[in-house]
Amino acid sequence: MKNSIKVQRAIHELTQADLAKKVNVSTWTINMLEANKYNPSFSLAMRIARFFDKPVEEIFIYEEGD
Amino acid sequence: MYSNLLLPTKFKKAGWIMLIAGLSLGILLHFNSFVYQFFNMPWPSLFSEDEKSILVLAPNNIADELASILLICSILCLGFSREPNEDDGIAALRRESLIWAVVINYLLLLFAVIFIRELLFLKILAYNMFTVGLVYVGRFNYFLYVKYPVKNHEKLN
Repeated sequence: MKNSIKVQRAIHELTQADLAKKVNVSTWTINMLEANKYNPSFSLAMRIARFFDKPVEEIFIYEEGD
Repeated sequence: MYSNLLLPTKFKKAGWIMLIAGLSLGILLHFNSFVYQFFNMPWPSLFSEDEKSILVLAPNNIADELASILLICSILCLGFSREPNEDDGIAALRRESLIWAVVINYLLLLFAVIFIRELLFLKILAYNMFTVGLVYVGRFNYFLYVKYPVKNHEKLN
């Protein structure tokens, strides 16, 4: 599953550590999400989307086969 | 992985110390046939071959027991102590590493069953006790700290 977390972070001028603190996960998890190495749980996806004030499907792009 | 089953983070440091001690002693025992006399002492034995009673203190060289205890405790401390920032992502890495470790362990065992005979097979069985834990700890820490290290210093990367 692709995502636009890195773009949103750039818009909000946040580091990975800043975002990790805001959504209550480790910086490593944000790192993995941006590298598309980890699909988040529903609650984490919701927390990230709500933090950026965007719909989930705008941050996380579901692709066939995911 | 249920994070409330994990040990506190401070166990990790003790785990690394025990791993270094256990591996060093294990390697020494593997490559030297020399018996370290200072490891000779009475040791509890549940079923002794010499004694008819159950649970006796029998003389024993405890070097191999000590190496095994250190390795097992180190694997438990390193593999199952909470990371300072334990979360969903790290729990997923734990699960994945554990699956990899079990698969690799059985592939090694399968190889040994097919191709290795007699005393060497028993030796491999003894080492095989630790491979699942060591592969799990190795893969978990490699992915967490080496392959995908966190770059806190970069503003937007």
